Amino acid sequence: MKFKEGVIIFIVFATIVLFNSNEVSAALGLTPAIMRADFKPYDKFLINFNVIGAEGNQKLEVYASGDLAEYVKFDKDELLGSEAFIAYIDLPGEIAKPGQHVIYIRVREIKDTYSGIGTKLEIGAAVVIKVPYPGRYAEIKSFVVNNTNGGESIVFYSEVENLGVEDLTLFPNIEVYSGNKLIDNFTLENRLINHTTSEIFTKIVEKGYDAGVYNSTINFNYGKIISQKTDFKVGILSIEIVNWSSKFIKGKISEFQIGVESKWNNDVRNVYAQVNVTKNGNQVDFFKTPSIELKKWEKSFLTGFFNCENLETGKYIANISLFYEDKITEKIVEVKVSNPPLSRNVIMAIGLGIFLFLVLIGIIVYLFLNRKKSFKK
Amino acid sequence: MKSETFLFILSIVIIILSFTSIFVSLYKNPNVLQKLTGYVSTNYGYVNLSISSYVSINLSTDSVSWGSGAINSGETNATLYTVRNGSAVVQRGNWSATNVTALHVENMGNVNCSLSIQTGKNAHDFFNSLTNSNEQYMLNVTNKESGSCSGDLLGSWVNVNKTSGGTRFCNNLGFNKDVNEIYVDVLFTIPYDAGNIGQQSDVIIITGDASG
Repeated sequence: MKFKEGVIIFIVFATIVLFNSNEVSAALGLTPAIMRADFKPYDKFLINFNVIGAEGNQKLEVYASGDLAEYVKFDKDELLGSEAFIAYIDLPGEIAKPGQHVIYIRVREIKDTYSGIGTKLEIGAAVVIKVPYPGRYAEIKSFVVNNTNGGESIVFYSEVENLGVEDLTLFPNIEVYSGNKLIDNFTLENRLINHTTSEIFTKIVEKGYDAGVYNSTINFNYGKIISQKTDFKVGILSIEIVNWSSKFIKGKISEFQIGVESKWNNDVRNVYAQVNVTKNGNQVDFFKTPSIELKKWEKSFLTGFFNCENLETGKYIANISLFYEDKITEKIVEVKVSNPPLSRNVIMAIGLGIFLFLVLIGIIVYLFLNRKKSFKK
Repeated sequence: MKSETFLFILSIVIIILSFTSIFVSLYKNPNVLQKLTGYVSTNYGYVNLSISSYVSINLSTDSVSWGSGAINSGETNATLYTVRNGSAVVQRGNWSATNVTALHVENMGNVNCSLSIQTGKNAHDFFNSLTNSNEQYMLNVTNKESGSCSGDLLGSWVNVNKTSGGTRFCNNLGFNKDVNEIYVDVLFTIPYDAGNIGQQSDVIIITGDASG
């Protein structure tokens, strides 16, 4: 009786928990998105912001968040639609922590009433205040080397920022390694970077390199050495067979998946495979996969269907031929055809049989021991 | 015959005048040839054009609307969750999953932005299970377009976060047209002993900050 009451209560409770949600389709934007300024003690400046994409009657609130937010004031705290506003930034005399401090100027939708699950959009523009490091200090902002194909030129690109209070002369140098072996080393022209500015360094190696994976290090020496590493790949028109399906069930047509990986720095179209399955030199099946397009350096799968309906269990040889452009990659692999695994019912029947057998043995032992006792009496 | 002679003489005169004109022009302005070709060798036009950076997000999914429903008899909870733009799932309950899809967020700006999500309530605030069990309110952010967003929490169901700032799901939601869209799936596990009855509500704040 108690259980029945409980069921009724939770059905009543559950039924009245509703999830009516607001239908939403909204946009909110802010411009400018990013502003950068160097820190100067007691500096004062203003930024004009414009809200974009808001509905005309959409109420919005404006606030600042993040580092140094307490030094920001606005000409208005609430807006209507795509309105403009001004942020007044009044910096302190000193900021103890050097580096980048980000103030987010945020605009958020105001929605007074909600029915169900509502959403509010909020957008933030970043005001980046760069506080210089004492003395000489530079950071590598980026170091990028493009992937190419063998024989094509390679571009090394790096951006360095002088975050200190002094101007620096940088002496750059790039090292290229294949594994642990240094294969190339070049010195770039030294350059003066004024404090709180950044410079871009590039180097083009026209001759390129042979296919392979390389790692490169850029070093900047300004009395102190700063370095950054990156990997890059030089491609070859080759697609490798990296894995494949190897276990199949007798009596079924099963998917035969072939994992492929492009080693080429361009897309390769019309990639497909043919699979010839043999047993003792006699063909037992032959199938072709649909063709796919491989993006540069992409790993993907080709899928064909292996017919094991009339095959016996055992090991077979599959010759996988991969066709692309005017090339063929081949791999000979072993695959296995097995009986289907036991069904759950069969396993349960065997388990039950063993259980009954053990019970029977127990009963026999019990009866035997009882009989022995009665004989002794 | 007379007219033929006249035309011949007129042609000769015109040819002589033409050559004289060319000669005079070249003599007066030797650079005229360069100008006649229409090829500008050193003079460039000047266009003053400034493009402002802007950060903008668009929320374009129309519905996350489960309507009303009940937990199946004999069950202690029901689970409801959206599956990207596919059919939503309702387990152990009879809520409608028709046209219920994930929130769809797009970076419409011209800079990358981070993406954080804050809710007004957590699961207990929402349902107030009397036994403090069988209740869940979670989000799962996935890329609609591969590579749109990067972050450790991508592809995992994460409990909602009602603290200020919420949970940052994306560090850099791209702005390039092919890699700028994500889905935000929502999951509820509704307890049989919910203390909050009647229509419940919450607000999800989606924040996009320009990546400074």
